[in-house]
Amino acid sequence: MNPSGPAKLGRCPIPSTARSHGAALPSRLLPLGVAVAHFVALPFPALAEDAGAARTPLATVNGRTLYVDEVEGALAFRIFQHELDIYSLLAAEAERRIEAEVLADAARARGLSVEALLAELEGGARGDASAVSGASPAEIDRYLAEHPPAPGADPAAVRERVAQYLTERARLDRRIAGLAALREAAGARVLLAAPVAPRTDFEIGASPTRGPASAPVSIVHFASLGSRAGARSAENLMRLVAERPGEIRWTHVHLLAERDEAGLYAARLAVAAHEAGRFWPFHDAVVAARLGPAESFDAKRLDAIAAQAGLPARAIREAGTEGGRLAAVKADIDRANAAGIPREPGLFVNGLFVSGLLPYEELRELVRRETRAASESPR
Amino acid sequence: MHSARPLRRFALTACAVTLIALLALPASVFAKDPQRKPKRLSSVGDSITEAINAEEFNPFVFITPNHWASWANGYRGFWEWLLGRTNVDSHNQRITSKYGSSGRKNYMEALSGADSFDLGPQMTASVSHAADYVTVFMGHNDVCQNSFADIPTDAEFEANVRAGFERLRTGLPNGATVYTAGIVDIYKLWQLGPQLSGALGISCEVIWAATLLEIYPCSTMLSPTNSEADRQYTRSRNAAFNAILEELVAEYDAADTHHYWEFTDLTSTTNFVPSEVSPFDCFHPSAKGQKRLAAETWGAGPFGN
Repeated sequence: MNPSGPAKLGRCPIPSTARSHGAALPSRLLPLGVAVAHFVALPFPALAEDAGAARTPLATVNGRTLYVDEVEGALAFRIFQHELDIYSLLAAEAERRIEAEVLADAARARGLSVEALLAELEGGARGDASAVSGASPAEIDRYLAEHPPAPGADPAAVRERVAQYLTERARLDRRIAGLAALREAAGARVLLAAPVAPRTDFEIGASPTRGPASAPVSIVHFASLGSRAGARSAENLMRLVAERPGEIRWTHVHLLAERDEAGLYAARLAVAAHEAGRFWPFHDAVVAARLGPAESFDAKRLDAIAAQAGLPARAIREAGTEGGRLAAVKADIDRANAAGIPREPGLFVNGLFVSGLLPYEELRELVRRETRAASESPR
Repeated sequence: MHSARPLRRFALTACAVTLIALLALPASVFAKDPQRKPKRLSSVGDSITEAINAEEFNPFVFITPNHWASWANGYRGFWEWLLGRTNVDSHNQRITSKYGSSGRKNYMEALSGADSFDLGPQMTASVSHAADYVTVFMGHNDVCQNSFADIPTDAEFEANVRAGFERLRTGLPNGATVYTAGIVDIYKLWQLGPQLSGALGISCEVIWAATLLEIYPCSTMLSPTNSEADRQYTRSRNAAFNAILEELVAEYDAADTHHYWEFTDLTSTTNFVPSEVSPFDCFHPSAKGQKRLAAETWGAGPFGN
């Protein structure tokens, strides 16, 4: 028995209040909040010592110390991916050692070698693995009736393969059951708990955002304006916003697919639209066009959409020039990569990563939970 | 004159000894043609070499080739820079770094879904491309089948590989190198599914359930109806095919005086971690996994040192 419950991989936890946007405490104020709490609870000299001991310094610049907890919120999802790798390695090693120790202990108790014990397990009740007979013709017929071979397959070859499979499976079944019994008798189990998906404190910066700043749910949408998957994901968000007015703050970050020429051009135009204060009209028109009947979705069409959305002609011309707004698009992509977003469309819902391909009902349920949690948490 | 006789006798004896020694050596020790630089790369394989779903995924296509991320043929251009793609440092890239870009060719014969029955056509393409370096990473789809009745027997697998190797032996330019990598232990990939599920906004179990409809391949490992014994059986076939590959490579390297044959089992003994598996299909190597495959196979391979 593990009195402290499942062991967990260590990482400085980020208080949930610091992660959720809107109603939550902005993350950069968190260190200040922690310091104030210490000031109230402790005499001043103790505050300095304790705060220094509790926080891990990361760097120093101009005499100011930068602490790990100041940056790890922004990297939470990527750090989590590394933690998952560490967990996976440890869990696999634990399983390997459990099996080796269980077998060694059981073999020693019976005065056998491990190999002899395994042969005994595989031989089942008869205790003789070499005496295991092959699959009977009736067993082979039964399997083939349930799993008809591919048309044109050589019947003799198929029967040989099935016979091998059924014979081997019977042996493996006995081995697995025997090992499971030995594990249970030894009380063997892995205690290490898998890491839990974190909330990322994504810096919105100057990205286009709509919805009230006080909204309980902040959604960052990493998507291409050129992909159908991105458009469908945006359509889901539009539906959510319409169903739950005032509850969602929506930020768009450009993330493209490979060789997504239309997406790249649309993103350049979108940067220009944002500069002109026309991002969302352009965004919504592009999404509607992308979801419409399949037709050419090229620069000419995007130019027309941009013009209809109120983009000045000069801005449209500039967006199309070599390098125009490319740096801004690239910066968005780099921010998404730094946050660990695997592909577009992806979402941070109050810092929790979900795929943009998540069915609408599941996304709505997640938003409901987040809204409820925000209303229940102290402000 | 008198003093020249012992010298002549010594020379004759030395020649005789050398001749006997040379005759006694296996042909491969002294008769290999000079090894060619691997300028013309040709990869034989399946979806793993095509880097399916490694870093990019089109949900409307499902099987999305990510050739820039291939351990063998991967490359880096404008889009890879723009999107911040993983630089897998593939064999193709390493060859250019080491031997220069002059005369370079980068052929991918590998095709998603291919198995040992496709070795012949793919290796014929390698021959027609006059490859001087052929990578072979095949057999995953022999193990990954819709039914256990479709997994080839040892004899069938060996016959397929042997036929393919014969095409290379008789068709590649002298001095070419054939580098075969062992089949990945797909059981280890399956084991990572539960760790990926729920963590990355996907459900591996739901994706793998598509094997029931034969939409997604590899029912013999991934089907939700499989027992642990079923999966272990598939794994045992995996190991048996690797043993065949290793034996055949050794046999060809010993007998073929014109070509170099090498095998590595690093690919089959690799313990992947979650970040090295595709976050889109929970099965193929991710770009990070491809990067590891590239580094390990290159390091252990014929041109690594």
